[in-house]
Amino acid sequence: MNPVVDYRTKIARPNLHQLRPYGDTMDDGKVQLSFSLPVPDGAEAVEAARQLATKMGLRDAAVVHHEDIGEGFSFFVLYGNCQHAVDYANIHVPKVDVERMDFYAVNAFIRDRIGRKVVILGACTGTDAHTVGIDAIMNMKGYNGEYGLERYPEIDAYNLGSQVENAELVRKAIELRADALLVSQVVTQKDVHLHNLAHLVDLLEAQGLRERLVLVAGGPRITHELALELGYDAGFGPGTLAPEVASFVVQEMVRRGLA
Amino acid sequence: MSDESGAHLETRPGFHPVARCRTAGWRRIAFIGICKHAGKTTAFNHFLSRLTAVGETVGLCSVGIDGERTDHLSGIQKPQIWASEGTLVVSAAQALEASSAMFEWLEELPVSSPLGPLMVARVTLAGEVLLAGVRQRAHVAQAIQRLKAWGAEWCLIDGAFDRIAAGVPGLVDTVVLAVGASAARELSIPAVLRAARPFLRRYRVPAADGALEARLQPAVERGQIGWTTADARDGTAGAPAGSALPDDLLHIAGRDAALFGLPRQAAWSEAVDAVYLPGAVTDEIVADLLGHRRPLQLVADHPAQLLLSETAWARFERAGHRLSVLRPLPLAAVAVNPHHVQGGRLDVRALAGAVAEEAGVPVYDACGGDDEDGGVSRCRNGRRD
Repeated sequence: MNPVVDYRTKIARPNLHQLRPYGDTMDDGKVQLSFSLPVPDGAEAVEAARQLATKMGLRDAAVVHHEDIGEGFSFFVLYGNCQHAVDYANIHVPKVDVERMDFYAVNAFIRDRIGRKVVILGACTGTDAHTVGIDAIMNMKGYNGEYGLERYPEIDAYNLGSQVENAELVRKAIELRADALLVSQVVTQKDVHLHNLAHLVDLLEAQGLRERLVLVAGGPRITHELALELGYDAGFGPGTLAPEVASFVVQEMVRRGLA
Repeated sequence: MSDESGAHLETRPGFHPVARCRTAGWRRIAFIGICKHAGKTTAFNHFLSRLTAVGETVGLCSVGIDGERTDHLSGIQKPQIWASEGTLVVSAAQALEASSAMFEWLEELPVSSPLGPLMVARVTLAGEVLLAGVRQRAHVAQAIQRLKAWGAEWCLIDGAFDRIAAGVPGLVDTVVLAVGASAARELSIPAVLRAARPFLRRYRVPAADGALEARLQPAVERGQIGWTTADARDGTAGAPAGSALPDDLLHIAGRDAALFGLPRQAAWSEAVDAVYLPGAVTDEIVADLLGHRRPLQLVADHPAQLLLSETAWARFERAGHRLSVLRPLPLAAVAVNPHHVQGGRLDVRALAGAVAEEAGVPVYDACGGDDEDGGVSRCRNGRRD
């Protein structure tokens, strides 16, 4: 009788220095992509989509779905084989070096190490009206099983909502004697929101407030590296929950002697 | 070339803005861009290569992240920073570890960052350096102080995006402004000039005259907002030149009062003719003053406090008011970058000429450089080869 073989030992191992997408077999580079073209659906449009995918570096690009989406536009789904690889083993993404505490631990930390309520303001600034992210962090009901900062007894949390001008945020920070500002921005390719994020830092510096505040940026394309480049103390991307932000803010306050 | 003779593109061998800085004694230099991809780091490298080529000890830091291979958002290749042996750097620990240069670790500064604590290090084996972790004006002050203590004869501070926070008198001696074609969506010289104008104007704002400075001195000393009235000035007509007014003729308000509206302050009146603002001067603040009946002299502390749009600035002046600064900061040079990040390029001589006409300081091609610099790279599409 043959011994039982663990199927997991039969799976090919990825080369972490030459990492490619996985489709059907290891290293096949298979990817799926979709896009729209501003031309009516038809044979020419399908061929255009295939040629575009080839120019993107995909081998054996094939259109597996196409449809008319109205107004002279068409939509495509393609498969193809990616020819490029990345050195996964040498990728290092900066992470905030703080202990992630839960709701109870954050409140206890504030009581023990800060000894007063921590004031945190959150806002989508400038023209940005995408409040989903900041609401998930700030609002009492929270998100994904975690309370928002408004629920924390040791935190005075103020969600200023959307389209808040930088000057208004600074006024509120002064009025409410804020310890931390959470600024949410959907960073677009045209960098409009980056300019707004950078402008807030210049404004806080000019007003002599920057040193006194923990400044956090958040949004779909925000990383710690981008936040540092903009002059923020940390940057949180999608999926971040209130305890992560609160843990960073309170530990940063203690580290910088702001408690 | 003569700095006073008017600005023009200088690419001939022998000219370098470093010479201007050396002559003027400006050894702490902030590199500020009018936008992302303006050519700040290329201009920075231009200085660095020149200084290290003649054996000067240079200290480096950046208020953003510089020296990384690609842009975090766009993935576009970015200019790297090559530091030779003996160069001093302030950067986050993980950024230094990611550099190809080798370092002697000298000191840990009491500043943390997501990339680890800020370190002072000396390059022991030349290579590329990644500068990161310095993000506040206060960090820059600490970095410069420590770099000088470890023997830096020059301190170069690279900027980030269009942030101007590091361009502060006392913190640095001068500014090099990078003007890049990428500042405008439309690839045209007038569009780039429109984007550059508020930055250039900031460094050309005149210094407040001595008599006005004396009138405002009590507020300056307290770091608070102060304003005086024409009546107060009349009351000191016989006073010796430069003498300060008694405090009761100068009205003082908290540093933040301007953000809440100067005309709404209790002691504000239509007789006010000069006001000193130690904090930010924003579009909102000057808009509040547009209706002031008497011509007003608004004195900002220094150029980095002027956060005004071109439109707001023009409106303020059209209303008969004037801006000045207590502590000007000289602009050493403008580096032009004709390459647009999304492709295309402007004629570098035409761009430099147009910028020079507005800037009044030497303008040079950040990407082209000259044959003698030994380190200025050729540029293509806004990035270094």
